[in-house]
Amino acid sequence: MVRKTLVRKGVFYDSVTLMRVSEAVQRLPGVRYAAVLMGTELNRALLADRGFAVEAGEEDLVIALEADSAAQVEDAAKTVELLLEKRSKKGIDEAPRSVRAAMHMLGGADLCIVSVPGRYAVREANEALRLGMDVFLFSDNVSIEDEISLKREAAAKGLLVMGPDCGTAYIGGRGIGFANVVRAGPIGVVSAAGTGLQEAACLLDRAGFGISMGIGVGGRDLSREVGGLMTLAAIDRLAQDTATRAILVISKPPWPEVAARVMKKLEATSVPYACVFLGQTSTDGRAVPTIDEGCARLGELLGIGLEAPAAPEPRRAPGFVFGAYAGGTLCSQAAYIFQLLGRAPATNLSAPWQDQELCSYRGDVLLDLGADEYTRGRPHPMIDPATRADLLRRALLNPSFSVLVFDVVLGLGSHPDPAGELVRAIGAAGQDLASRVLVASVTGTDRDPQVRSAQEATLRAAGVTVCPTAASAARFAAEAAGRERK
Amino acid sequence: MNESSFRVINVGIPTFGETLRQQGAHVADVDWRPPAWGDPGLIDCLERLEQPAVDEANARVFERITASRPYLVGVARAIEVVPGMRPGLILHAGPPVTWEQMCGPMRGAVIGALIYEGWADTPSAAEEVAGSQVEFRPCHEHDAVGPMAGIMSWSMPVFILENRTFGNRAYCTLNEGLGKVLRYGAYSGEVIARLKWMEEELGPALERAIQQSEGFDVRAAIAQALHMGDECHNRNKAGTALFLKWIAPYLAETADPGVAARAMRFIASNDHFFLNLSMPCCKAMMDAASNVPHSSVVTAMARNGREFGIRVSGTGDRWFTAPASSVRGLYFPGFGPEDANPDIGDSTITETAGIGGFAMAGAPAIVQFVGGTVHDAFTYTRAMYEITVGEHPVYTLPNLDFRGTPTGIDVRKVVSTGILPHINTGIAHKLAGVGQVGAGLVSPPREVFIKALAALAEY
Repeated sequence: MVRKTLVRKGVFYDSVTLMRVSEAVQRLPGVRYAAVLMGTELNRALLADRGFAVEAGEEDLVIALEADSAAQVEDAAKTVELLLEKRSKKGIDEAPRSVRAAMHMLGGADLCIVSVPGRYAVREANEALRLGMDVFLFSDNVSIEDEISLKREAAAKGLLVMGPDCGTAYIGGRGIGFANVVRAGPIGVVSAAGTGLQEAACLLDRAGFGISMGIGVGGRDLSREVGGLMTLAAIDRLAQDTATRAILVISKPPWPEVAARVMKKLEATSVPYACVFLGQTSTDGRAVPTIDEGCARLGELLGIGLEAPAAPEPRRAPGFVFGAYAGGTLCSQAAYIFQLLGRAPATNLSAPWQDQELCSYRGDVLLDLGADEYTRGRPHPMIDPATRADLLRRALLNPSFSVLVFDVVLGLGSHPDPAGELVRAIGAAGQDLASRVLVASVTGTDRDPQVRSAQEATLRAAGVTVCPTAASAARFAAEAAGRERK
Repeated sequence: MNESSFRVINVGIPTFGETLRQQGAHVADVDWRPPAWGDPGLIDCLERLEQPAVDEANARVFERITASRPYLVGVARAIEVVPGMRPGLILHAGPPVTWEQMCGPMRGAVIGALIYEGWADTPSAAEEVAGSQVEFRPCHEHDAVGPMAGIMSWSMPVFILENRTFGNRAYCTLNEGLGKVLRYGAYSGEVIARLKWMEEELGPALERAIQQSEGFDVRAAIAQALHMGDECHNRNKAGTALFLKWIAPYLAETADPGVAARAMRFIASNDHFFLNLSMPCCKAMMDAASNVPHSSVVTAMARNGREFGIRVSGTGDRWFTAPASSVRGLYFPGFGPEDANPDIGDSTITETAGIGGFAMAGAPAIVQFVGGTVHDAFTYTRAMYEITVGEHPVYTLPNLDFRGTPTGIDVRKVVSTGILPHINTGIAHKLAGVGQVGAGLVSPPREVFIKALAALAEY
């Protein structure tokens, strides 16, 4: 076994690029370990655990390689250089180095997308706001204090801060981040983070309607601390938008006073609206607990059919459910549906779940694979299904999991064939699938690069039941598993 | 959903930019890297300084730089005009340095100056005098600037530039030409003889000619020279021609034909003659912009052959220094990096005022001299917009659609972007008197900006 460590001083690449390079090099013959990363404290600790002692700073690129032979290590090092060179060949010296310079280059800008690490993201977002742009803040690890100050600044200027941890938006007639290719239409959506908005946009698209704008506000916006600053700003923006004829708000249950403020604002707009507060039904019926019901309710108000297609009848397979989600909102929604149906799933929605228990656990488990513990140093499951595929494979080794449920999220920026990857992993487990129920939903459209109907066909061919929405798939799974057994 | 022009800036993951481009948006990807070289302490300092009070102070500084109109109004012996000048005081380039610490070329120039002033007959006697009877101070602290070693002694003739907007003055010696010259540390007989001729014949002739005129508008000459391919630091062909064109009739009117001919021939034979006008012009502009409280704009960048120093408007006369870097460049035949002295001279005042390396895009011919391509010249200038306060209203670049040159280096932006100023410079031989051995590009050590930032954050 041969090792090699290289440090390139003062060279920066974003983490997604580096993960892709690492992944490609890892697949070379004889390579046992390949890490191409920035020399942050966290990354250095990661390398130290693998026995690589590295002298590097935050702004240095580190290449750590381990292979069976010296020649293979050299090949790997050369491949790293080649792949990185390919990335930087695109006239990087021409590229602006700051938001201000980029704005000069474009002659003004409408939106700034920020996806650099959290502690730097706030600086860039602030600069963009100063220069008068809306901000799409994909970065996570932004403190609540920073979030509040950014959003106050934005609100004062009539701008939007979408995020932090915002994965999807539809602004200026384009999908931002992980967005599905959907039609334009009269419905404005305000949603927390990402997959909730994707799910709603696809559902509307399938019913023949489109969205005017989709504004992500970040998962904490309706908390007591943030007070709905951006939800309120988003409602204002939609109310002023001539293309918007109805508003759909999707969120986890808000802090009660904040919910009241949002409702008051919606009432004041005189635009028809529906609110989805996941898992929560308000006494006056103005808020519904699932995305499907939210769309249906909006349809009633507008006098159009926005109901989701009927789900198939569940096949019984009494036992426990294992669910693995790429979409955080879809996982939350599933957990609420399980609770409504009298089940008590273990989740990682508020704290990580100990997944080493996977092979022996008895009980329902619903996991959000987009949570920090699964994405640290690895791409999001929408980009790379490998982690999720591995979890599903391991869950099949536990005979008490009679039902497996998962979502497949398509769209721009997502993996080119997520259904294929997951189905292959399930097949590779070599377990008897006949006694089990496998159920999934596909969030996407036929105009997405992955093509919804093709992904559904892949799933069906592998014996997976495909439900029309994530909510119906969750209900299907819970009902298939039958009554909760103690 | 179609809004025809949707403009997006993408900071981070490239995929987000690519998918928007596929949807017909105009996207600019920022070549992002961690601010302040990833140092959390510096980011704290930055954030303390990223506030309107500093922005406003910098706007005022920019206004003062660009409103300045320095004119050449005369030539006199240093002792007659330079503040504080007296026999026994020698001014040098860069931040303060002692005789013991001076590099080879600067020591050589001091020896030459002392022989020229008649304080010593031999180099060893001059060294003795330099070590015991001479006070050394930076040109910058006496309203003056000097190229390379930048040595100015009391009898030397100096250009007098007056900032007609703010009334302040700046001074610089007359350029001696190339080859064996004092500014590169040469002190042979021919060097001393030339200096004497400049004192006794050239200086007075120029003075009489200038007095016949309304004064020479150096800022306007720089603006023209920029349109003629100079960047007014390492290329001064056009500026020199413009000056000669201006002074020739006055010389003809005021000097004996032989004197006038010798003066004009001397100027015509030296493509760098104008450097010693562009430098004090920049100095007069930057001095008018110094001492503005809270401003983070650099008012001087200078090197003494050991250290690189900067001064910042908001911190007044204080120097922030660090060891000077070596120059990346091309060497004349027979010389190489091992012969080079570390970066030296006050001529970086040009970059400080928004020309020189900052105006490279307007001087494509220079790239052959300093090594690089025409494309690089554009890239250098474009990068400087990232670290400056504004675009000069008078200095414009035809090649960039007459965009103003990037002017007023903001310490905050340097640290935030990690982009260091691009400086064009000559390379001196490390031994006294050998002269110029090449030319190239150099950047200040980042430490000077880090120190300045920390000092600003304390105010």
